[in-house]
Amino acid sequence: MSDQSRKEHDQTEPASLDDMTHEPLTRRSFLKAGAAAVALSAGTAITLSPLKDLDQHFSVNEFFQQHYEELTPEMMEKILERIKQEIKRDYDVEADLRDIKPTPGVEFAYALNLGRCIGCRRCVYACMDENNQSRDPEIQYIRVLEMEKGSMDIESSNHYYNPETVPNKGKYYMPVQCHQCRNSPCTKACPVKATWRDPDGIVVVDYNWCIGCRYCLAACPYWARRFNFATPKIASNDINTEMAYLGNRIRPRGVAEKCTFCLRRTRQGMLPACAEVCPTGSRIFANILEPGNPISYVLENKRVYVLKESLQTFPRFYYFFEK
Amino acid sequence: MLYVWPSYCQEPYTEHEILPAFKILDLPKTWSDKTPVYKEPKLLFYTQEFTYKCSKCHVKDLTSKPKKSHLPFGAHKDMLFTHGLNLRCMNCHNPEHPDAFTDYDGSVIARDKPVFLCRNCHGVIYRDWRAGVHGRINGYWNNKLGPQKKIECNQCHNPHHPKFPDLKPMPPPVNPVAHKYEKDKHHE
Repeated sequence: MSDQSRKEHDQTEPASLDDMTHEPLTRRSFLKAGAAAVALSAGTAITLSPLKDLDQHFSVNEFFQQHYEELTPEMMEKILERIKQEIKRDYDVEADLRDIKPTPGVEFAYALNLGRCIGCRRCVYACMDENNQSRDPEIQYIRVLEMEKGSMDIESSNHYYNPETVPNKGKYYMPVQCHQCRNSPCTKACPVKATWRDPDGIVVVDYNWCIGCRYCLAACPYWARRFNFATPKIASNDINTEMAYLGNRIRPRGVAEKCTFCLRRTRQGMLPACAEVCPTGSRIFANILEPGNPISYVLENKRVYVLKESLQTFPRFYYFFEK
Repeated sequence: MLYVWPSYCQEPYTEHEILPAFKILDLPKTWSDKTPVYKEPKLLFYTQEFTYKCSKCHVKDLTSKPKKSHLPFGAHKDMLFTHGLNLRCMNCHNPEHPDAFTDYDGSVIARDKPVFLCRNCHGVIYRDWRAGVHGRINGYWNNKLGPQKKIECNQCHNPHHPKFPDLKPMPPPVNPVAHKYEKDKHHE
């Protein structure tokens, strides 16, 4: 189009916005634009496709969940309902999940008779049954150390012993689990306050608040904390369906967990599973604020040994032997 | 060492008779070890020895011999007597009342109260047991919420052979080092 003809064209018709900004729509430009739009939408779909699987591992409600201390009863009810649904989806069991609060006027303590323990590991497996630990990879709260008689050297102990019958000659056994310290290093190490001491003395973990940094594992001098490196695997008929929010509910991947003195049982007045199953009766559990309780009797009348007393952790777990 | 009693001599105590106060609580279904200790097969106490009434054969008293010996090899040969050097039956069994125990002065201790007999010698352990420090306890720590079940001496200990048989331990935890080694070997 020559300059002259353009001038004529301008004069005859007022310029539309289309003419000023765009080239006229040709077949070529139409196909170009169409192909670009298809490519863009396909690319977006591929980029975002992992998000479709995301809601299996992540829920918006969990992301916006408040800290345990700030939860109102209604919020807690919703959370419990959500976790129940997750357990139903992942493990195919109907869980009776509750948030069990500590009772005022109760402080728990534990005593273990080193002279009577024979190292049969019944407590370890009762604990696994009660607390829904992962079976593969294997997580156990209680380690039974086989020690030389006359020695208190934990470094030379063996926890992989497997003789035909126990007790072995010349050995004694020291089960180690969470000591529920009054001055607990693990709760101090936690950067997000996902673990704390409850008024009844139990150190608990909110598994939904834990970020999985494992500082608490490093801080614990008793090797009492365990970490879920993989999603817990438990057969559905092995699952204990009576669960507590801070206690034995099935843990997600990437959180720390620990012995809670069988919080689900003890806060409802029952004895812990390890204490009930012990065939020698060497495990004693009581509320130390109650007058005339067995733990006070032990502290008054027996020789009591506190593991790693020099660390000033003031455990609620005492070892003792006969005078 | 299972000794089979002749059927005409067999009149076992029913559970109701021998265990009125000793009924063990029903255990939760999630425990790995569902059997109470004394019912483990190696502890022959209830399965073999004390399911029979002494008065079945010793009609009058324990010191007089029964008229007929029903047992082919002589009585009480199946028992192990390793309770110290205490081999005199009448130290514990009441000679006049075959189904009861005897106190120091010859008075009767009921058969379902063995604690009152055992404490005569094992006073320290009795004190521990009473405080809840000796022996296995089942049930609730809080009496207000539920029953607590203490078990008595002869529910765990065989009084004639008090030493426990050794137990087989449950399997050890997975050793990560050995586990890794096994895995690597498997891959090669």
